[in-house]
Amino acid sequence: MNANNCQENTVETLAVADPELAERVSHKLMKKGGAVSQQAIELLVRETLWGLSLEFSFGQAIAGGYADLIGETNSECLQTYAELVREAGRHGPTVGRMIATYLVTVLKLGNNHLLGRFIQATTLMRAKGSYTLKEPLEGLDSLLKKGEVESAAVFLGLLMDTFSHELTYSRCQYFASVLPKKFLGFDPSRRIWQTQQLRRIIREDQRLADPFLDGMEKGLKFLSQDALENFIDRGLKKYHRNRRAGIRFFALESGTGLTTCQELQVTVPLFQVRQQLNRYLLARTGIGLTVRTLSSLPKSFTETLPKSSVVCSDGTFIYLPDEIGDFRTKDDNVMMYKNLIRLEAAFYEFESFDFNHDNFFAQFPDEDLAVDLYTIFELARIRILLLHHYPGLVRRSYPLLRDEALRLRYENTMTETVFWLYAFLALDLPITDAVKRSANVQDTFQAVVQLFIGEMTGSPTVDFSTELVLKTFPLLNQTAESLADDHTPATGSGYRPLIPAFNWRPWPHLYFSAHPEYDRLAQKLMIELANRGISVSKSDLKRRLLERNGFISSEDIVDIAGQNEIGHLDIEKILESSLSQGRDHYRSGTAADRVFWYREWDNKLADYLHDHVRLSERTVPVATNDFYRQTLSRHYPLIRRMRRGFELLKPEALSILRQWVEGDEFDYRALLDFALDKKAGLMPSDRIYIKRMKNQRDVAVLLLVDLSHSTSSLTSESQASVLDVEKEAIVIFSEALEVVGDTFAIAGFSGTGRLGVDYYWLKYFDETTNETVRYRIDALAPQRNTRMGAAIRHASRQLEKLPAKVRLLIILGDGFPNDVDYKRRYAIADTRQALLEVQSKNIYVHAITVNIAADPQLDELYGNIHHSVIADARELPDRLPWIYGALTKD
Amino acid sequence: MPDESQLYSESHLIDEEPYYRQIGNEVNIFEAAHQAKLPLMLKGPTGCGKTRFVEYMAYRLQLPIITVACHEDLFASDLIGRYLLKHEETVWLDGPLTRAVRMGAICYLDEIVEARKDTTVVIHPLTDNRRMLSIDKKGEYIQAHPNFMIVISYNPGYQSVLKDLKQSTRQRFVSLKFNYPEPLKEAEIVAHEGMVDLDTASRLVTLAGKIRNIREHGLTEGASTRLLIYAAQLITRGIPGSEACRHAVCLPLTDDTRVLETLHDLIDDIF
Repeated sequence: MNANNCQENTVETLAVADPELAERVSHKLMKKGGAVSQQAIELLVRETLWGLSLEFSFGQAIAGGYADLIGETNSECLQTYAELVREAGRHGPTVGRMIATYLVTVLKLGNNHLLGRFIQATTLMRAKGSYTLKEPLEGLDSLLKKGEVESAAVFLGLLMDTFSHELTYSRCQYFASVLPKKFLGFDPSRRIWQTQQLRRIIREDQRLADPFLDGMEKGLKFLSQDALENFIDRGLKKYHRNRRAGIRFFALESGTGLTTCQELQVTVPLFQVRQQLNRYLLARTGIGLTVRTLSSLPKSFTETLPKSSVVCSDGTFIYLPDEIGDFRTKDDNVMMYKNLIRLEAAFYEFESFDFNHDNFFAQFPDEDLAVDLYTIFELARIRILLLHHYPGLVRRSYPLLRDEALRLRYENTMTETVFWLYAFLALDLPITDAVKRSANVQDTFQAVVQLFIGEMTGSPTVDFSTELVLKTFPLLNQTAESLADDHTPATGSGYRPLIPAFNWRPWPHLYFSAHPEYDRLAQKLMIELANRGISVSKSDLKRRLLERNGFISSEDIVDIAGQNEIGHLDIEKILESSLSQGRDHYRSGTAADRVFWYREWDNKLADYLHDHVRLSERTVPVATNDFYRQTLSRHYPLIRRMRRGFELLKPEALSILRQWVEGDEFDYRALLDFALDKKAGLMPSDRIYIKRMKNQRDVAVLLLVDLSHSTSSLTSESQASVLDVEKEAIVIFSEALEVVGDTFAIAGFSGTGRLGVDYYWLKYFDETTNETVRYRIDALAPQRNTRMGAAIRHASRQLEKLPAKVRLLIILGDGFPNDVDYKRRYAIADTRQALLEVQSKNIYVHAITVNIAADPQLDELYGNIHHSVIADARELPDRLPWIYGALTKD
Repeated sequence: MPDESQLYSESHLIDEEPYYRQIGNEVNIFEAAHQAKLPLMLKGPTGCGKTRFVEYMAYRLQLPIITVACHEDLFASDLIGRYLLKHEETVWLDGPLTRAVRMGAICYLDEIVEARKDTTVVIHPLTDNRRMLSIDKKGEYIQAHPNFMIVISYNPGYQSVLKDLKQSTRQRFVSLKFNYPEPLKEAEIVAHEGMVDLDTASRLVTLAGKIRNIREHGLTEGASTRLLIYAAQLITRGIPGSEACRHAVCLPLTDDTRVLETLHDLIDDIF
């Protein structure tokens, strides 16, 4: 009998206890080939049978562990495994199973230091209770599988420091759950030294872990190593003097904590400057571009981008690094963000993508070279335009670009001519003598430069760049081929693409492929129009869809196609047949409290459809997910600021009424008139008093919130949906209004079809913001569609009943009205009509649209002074009370 | 010898033609309204040329102009007039509105929405076909001079909903809508009034255009043409462009440090 047969027979012993297990083990061992010894297998079988005798899953874990280790570690290691698993098994099969499972990866590394820590940590934790083991060991395993050995060692040290304390049961549970999550959440590049500081904190007092981890979330994680150590030094000193103050310091809840963190912080995360950058973008370009982190780019795009990308955009968002810490000071890091935004904004301001992209680059044999040429000429055009319009920007930003380009020069050696064209034309870098003398570069370079100068006139458009690409490609293609490097992949000619400074370049592929849904729409529409004899470019359609956030009107089609070609075609019908229909959703389960019928305006009939829409009033079922309370806690500084601001809105306690018939004192101006009128022989007025009256603000407001399905979409770079952000805004708004004392109500709406509009009461006018109201807000969830007209009519019906002097309806939504048989022109016309009806009842209306860019269609819908657009929904909680305050100030 | 009222009328005439760059058809509409004896309402943001336009039209029509800056404490007697003591006698002194009515001047009520509503209604009889002013204290009814015209100004945007013109007042006026001029014209205006070259004026106008994009995103109003002229005047006197813009354009607009930072960034780009 040979060795294999012996092994098979040994493993077959297992089959008596568990045939499937035996088969799995055999299969695994067979793959290891000759590295498997008979003793090892016997050990496997013996220990597995022992484990199975205690508990089935324990035995399975042992078998799996041995199967992994055999053939990959030595016998000493197997012995260690056996001893440790037996030791653990003595404390119960649960502990044994966990050790059997997670010890494997540790042993495979052959790192005794790590093994020693593993044993210490698990012993400590086991002493607290087996429930402390699972999540930490899972975390450890994931680190080791990623090869992060050093991190794993530090993590084990953290566990040792933590569980060496006297801890209550709940505290043990807390740490077992939280520490792995937090540790794995730390940035890998900073994890080790950040954890060292956490260990330091815990060694001092394990109760400081919570505030410290809170503080890490709020901003301590962006401190450098020295800065964090400095912060903790200060924090611990404070803690020794005053425990409560120390805790607040670490949690960044105290002013001192926040100020210290800000002073020490050098690295700037994007979220800290996002609002600033968005505001700059809006001011500079007038369009609703917003910023996002590079890490939020969809994977399908990051694959096409160089690893070192620093800035790029897709027509809707500008993508920037998640954080910048390259410079020594915080201001310089902030300035870097600003420089990147300033440069990238130029592509939109000067319309770098306003050309017919369809197959433009694909016509060239070397697409990469064509894209680089487009980059060079386009950046050159941009430079000239920036110099004319923004000389300050060029003065500040271009030296950075030049320095970076020169630094990258040697990474661009295989495309020397192209690189120097880029340096000279795009960055206005002087050419070195060495380059001038280089025969490879000289002739082609001069020819292209002359062509560029010759073609450049006035304010060139992007067509200037694309035409130059066509003219210069043949010249550069020859040069590129002659410089071809056989080892460079994939481009056929061996041309390696240019790496510009900070990778700042127009990315037409990203721009034109970023919105596949618009691409599909544009394609469909192009075909529909082509079938009717109208030729339009898909790029033009897509660009218009991008500009209009997916909306396109018949006027847009006429504009793109040219008036003469459209003739008498019914564009609206073409659009309706091309564009997708709304989804049909299930109805919500709660029964309607009351039902109302409303008319709807039909723009084609130019008349109302009476009793056309059925609206059901419903009450939101309460939920107790604590959203309201968490929002108050999370936005505490903002709410405090808002309350102070809204205190100022409260009218002065007493106002002075002049020329009154009775009052507290004389109005001396009126008294003079009295005397003079008497002297003139006239009957003097008896209105000679000043009266002080308690001033009342008499404002009633209804906040109407769109609960359509689209509000479930996530805001950029967060796990918060648009509705989550709206809910936060509602919470802050409620708190602010409680201060100023205005009468207010909150309602939401959604629905499917004209017979299924739902109107949800969250807070009635005569309710205070009590627990029930808070729970209703907690319970808000995205529903279905947006049939705005009926909801607005119902809201105005509620406001009409109030005797307040000023009645205000604020509509909060994330887009245009849209429902089954309620789309586009029809929906906009009906909504507009409903708003006019409201205004005719002396009710003011103000609409706030979030999460989309500004759109002229919104002006058409709401009127240009009666709505606000908040492109970045996360700004809503900050902005809503401000807007309300501006609308109702006295 | 000219009487007092004539002297008064002449003192309110504008001697030198004010600089005004026509934007649309506003001059013709004003003249037509004046001929038809209709009152006029000028709507538009602050500093966009409403007052300058009225002055220009007063010069063009050779009419005296009396301006009243409206405010919360403006009473009817402030507009109509009151008795004063003079040497132990009571003497009636016409208010600015009465004087305008008598002499046939343009009475320009600036920012009418700031005045109390019980004061504003005083002008109602002058703004309909009656064109009459009643002075109750004197028992006098004055028929308005044929040349008399009421012009009011009003900024409809960004107003609190608590303050607005009543329909009964609004619907008595022909209305002209003003806005900041289109960039080329605005640059010419700034160059002329601020005495700077056209290139500098164009940059100021570019800055204003950018600032106006964030109206309602942190600013209540955009940068007015007036502020640009102030900045230009500082530049003419040797103040560097960026500094002039900070002091004349940004700081008057807002105190919010975050918004100011954006405005400074824009200035750094342009200057």
